[in-house]
Amino acid sequence: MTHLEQQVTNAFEESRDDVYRYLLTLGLAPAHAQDAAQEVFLRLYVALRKGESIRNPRGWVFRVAHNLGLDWRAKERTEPLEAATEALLRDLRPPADAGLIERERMKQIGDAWKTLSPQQRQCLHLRAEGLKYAEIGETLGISISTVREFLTRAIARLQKAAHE
Amino acid sequence: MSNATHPTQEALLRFADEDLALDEARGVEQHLAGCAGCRDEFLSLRETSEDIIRFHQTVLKPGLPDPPRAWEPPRWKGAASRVIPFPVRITAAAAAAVVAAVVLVRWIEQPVRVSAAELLRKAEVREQAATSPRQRIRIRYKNYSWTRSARLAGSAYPAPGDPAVIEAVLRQAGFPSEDPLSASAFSQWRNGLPERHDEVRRDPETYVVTTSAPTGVIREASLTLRSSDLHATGATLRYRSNETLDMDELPADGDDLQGAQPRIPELAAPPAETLPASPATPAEEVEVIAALHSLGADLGEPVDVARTGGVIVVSGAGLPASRQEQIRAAVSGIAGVRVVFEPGDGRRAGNGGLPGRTAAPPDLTNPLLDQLRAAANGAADPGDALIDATDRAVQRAYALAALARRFPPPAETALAASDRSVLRSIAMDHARVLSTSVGSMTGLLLRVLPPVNATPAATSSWQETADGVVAAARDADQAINAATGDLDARESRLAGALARLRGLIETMQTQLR
Repeated sequence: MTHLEQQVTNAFEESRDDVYRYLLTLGLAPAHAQDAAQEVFLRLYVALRKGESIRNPRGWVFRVAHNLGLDWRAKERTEPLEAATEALLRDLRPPADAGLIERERMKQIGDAWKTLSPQQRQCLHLRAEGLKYAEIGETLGISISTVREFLTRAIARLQKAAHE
Repeated sequence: MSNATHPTQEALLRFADEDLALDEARGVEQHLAGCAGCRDEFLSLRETSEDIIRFHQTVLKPGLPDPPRAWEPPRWKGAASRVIPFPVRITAAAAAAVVAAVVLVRWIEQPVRVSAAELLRKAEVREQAATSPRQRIRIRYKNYSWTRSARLAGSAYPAPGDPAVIEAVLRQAGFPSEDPLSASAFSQWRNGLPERHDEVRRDPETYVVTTSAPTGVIREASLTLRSSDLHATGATLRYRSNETLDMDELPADGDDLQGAQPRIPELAAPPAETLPASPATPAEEVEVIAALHSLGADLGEPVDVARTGGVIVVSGAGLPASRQEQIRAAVSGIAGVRVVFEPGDGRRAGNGGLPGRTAAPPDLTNPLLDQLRAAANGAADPGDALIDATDRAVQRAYALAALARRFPPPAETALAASDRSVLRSIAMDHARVLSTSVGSMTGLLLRVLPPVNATPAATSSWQETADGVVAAARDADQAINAATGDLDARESRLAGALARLRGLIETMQTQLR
């Protein structure tokens, strides 16, 4: 295995599951999300092989995953994102071993999470995956000031929910 | 920021997420220190932010369906063929030529023009992956010669000859003696150079990487790599004193060297409980620091020195056996010293010892580096050189700050004149490399930034200056590496940080004289 192949394999093993789950939240069915996640890392390999300079592969793979997810949705003319993700969010459960207060807190956050707009949720999701604001903006194709605004509003809403 | 202008919720969130420019962040920090209302708001926001991360990790992601199939390893072959751009209209002959070229390029795998860094990196990867280490190497220096197994395991010296002399000259050059004939040893030396010039020559069967350095003990070093597998077969170090050290791989001839030669017994560590006979003084502490400095063990390696109750404890964790031994040997003659190494996994812990520095996540689109690369117009990548120079500067800045904390002005005044001069020569050494690194940074940035004038520093001691140096070096590092910030903000922050750094270094060099 060449050095490059090894590098991309490492990135694949480290991030494939995160990318796959992000694609699920974009409304892709599991099998499609898994294919798309595989495809993302092949594209990373191709880009690096072409000599493209990618200083943060993790930010890069989320951006490419997001675009692949949108392409796929456009091609398949799937149901609206709201409807597709509603089912995913319906049965979320706090971990069984969490204490009563933690379960209550996670339920409050989960309920409030469902009231957020898809873009607000995507911003929070990518932020929780460790992306910086600029990377979130590039992934979603929005400006950094919009990212800040989405995040501020989303977190304010969750903050309010958690303290009610 | 006065109480009249409370930070907005967005500013508080950005502060928590380290998205604010340094001066804005300082403003928020100062405001929070004096405004209980905003502090409560900030803490509540941070609490929610942590709740969200926990929700994401423990509820949302585990609640999503698992992948329906096992993951397949990526298939590179298909991917690679998609990158080769074919012209839209193509004649049969041209098509054949393109196909032939593609096949040739794939077959060779290595481009003919290859940079030293790339070649060494590839060779290192192969070395790490190699399962059968090479057999024996011979090292020659002046009239001394040492034939040994290529890789020394633990503290056993399985060979006669002149190991002490040869180890000393390798060490003096900053060349690791554990496995000296290797791409990784060569890289370790090369990466430590403040300035260097590389050349790669390709012969039919070998690559020869030659790196020359304007400063340092070694003037020039060459490493010969077999082109078929990038295995290191020979190296030559040319010292500035005009001496030469040669290393060659000896053919495996079935002669079991380790079995044939007597072993020097393991250098046993003194039992940890044994207290030294005479209590250690600050003078000995200076001596220990100087010994570690001579090994480069004061540059972020996980080695700690503490003087408590008349004993100086040199401790470390996760260091390879050979490094532990070097450190033991270097401090062994000093009174009142106890050396304690925690068992490690034998791997180098990298920058783990640098306090408070997180590796800045490299940026996907870093406008500053992009601009710099564009200005370089295809010449060697100035972005990597800039990042290297910045890393060296930050490393030295931390080393200076650590030294300053260990010997604050009153402690320094209490030292004997000779110890003080040793201490200052160590600080001066760090300041010199720092200055060279900042010089390289400024030079590389000339394409995109106007020349930087030193901002004079008003500090009363070199120790105080060292604190400023760390702040300015980190500031420069963040301006270059941070994932956020537009080009203008980065440039002005970087220019400010470099100007402060230059002023501080000049001041420190005067203070140290």
